[in-house]
Amino acid sequence: MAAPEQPPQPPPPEGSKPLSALLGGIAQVAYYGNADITEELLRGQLYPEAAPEEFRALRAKMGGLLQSIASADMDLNQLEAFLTAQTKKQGGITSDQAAVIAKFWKNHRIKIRESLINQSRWDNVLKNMNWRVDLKSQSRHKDQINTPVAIVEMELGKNGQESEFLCLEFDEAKVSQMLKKLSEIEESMSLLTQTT
Amino acid sequence: MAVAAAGKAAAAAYGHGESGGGRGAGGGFLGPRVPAEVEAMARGVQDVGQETFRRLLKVTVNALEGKDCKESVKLIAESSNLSEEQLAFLISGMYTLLREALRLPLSTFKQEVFKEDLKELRRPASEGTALMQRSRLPSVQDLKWRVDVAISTSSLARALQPSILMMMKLSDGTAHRFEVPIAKFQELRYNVALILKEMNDLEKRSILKIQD
Repeated sequence: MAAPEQPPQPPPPEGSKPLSALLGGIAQVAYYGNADITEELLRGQLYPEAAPEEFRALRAKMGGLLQSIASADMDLNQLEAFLTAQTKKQGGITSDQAAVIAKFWKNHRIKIRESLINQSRWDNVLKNMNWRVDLKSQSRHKDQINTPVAIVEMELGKNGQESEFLCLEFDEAKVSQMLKKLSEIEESMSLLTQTT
Repeated sequence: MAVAAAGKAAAAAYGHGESGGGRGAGGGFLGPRVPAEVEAMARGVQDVGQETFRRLLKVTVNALEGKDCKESVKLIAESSNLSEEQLAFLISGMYTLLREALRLPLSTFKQEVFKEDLKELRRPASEGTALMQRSRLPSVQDLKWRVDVAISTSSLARALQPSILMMMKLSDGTAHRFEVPIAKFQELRYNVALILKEMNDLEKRSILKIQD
């Protein structure tokens, strides 16, 4: 009895590489803030034989699909359903194109989502913090020794603006208070995630 | 800071590259050699009135905090009878003075010694007090927080993203409002816990050392 044979995997169709790169280019502009990637550049690099209007239509279609997928932050099930529906539409996509889009979304979903969330952050955001702890080792007054002081630098910034640096000083009591507050926040948040 | 740089160059041209002869011991917290612009400032500041001095101090502090002070400098130039060159000396000298004082860790920053250092630079003790109070770092007086969950945004139809909003009031009267993404919050919490641990460790270590 012959064992059933798996048919060899077909190589990815020729059109998949440029499409994948096109999606990357669209993401660069829409989600990663890279305005240098123009339509002309994409056409010249990826689809040099295509006529400009033809390319524009392709780019618009792909951009629209990516926008729908990103805005809904689709999981794999939703994505499959969505793409399958697109292949059945008039003027939709081919199943090869659907496969390329699916692969692209799987790879870029987290990064694109993060970028979209950032687009809705309009206030200062805590970007970074640095600190050091100093200790008096010598003093005229013995009781002043062993009082450590923490110096903390916090970087606060907005999208596209220069950061503001806050330099603060904490004694041990204040650090302890701060830690207590942060623990309260942590507790409050874990309650939130339990109920959602 | 352009004014500070101009002052430095001008002071160097004046030939005050070395610390004053009679002082020998050097500039205390400024190091073994008093920077040229600080010396030049010390001389020039004798003729400056208290009000003008306070305004110059404010401008210097703003500059150290990275704020733009071209306007304020212009105002001072117009209202006092100081020449541009004099202003350059004064501001650059004060800038260096404060910057060096601030660079020292607070624990080594002893008030009495600072007062003495300033006296040696020939400035009245009262102005020393004004400088001293300005050069402490602010501490957190009050911290309020809020956890928000973004349900939907113009970019993301289904966001469901929690975020922490903090409002910090400092001892210098300023208030700062900022958002802390969840990942950054964990980092913040970890760092604060680490700071506390370091402080405890340091205390234990020095107690052990000092015991005879």
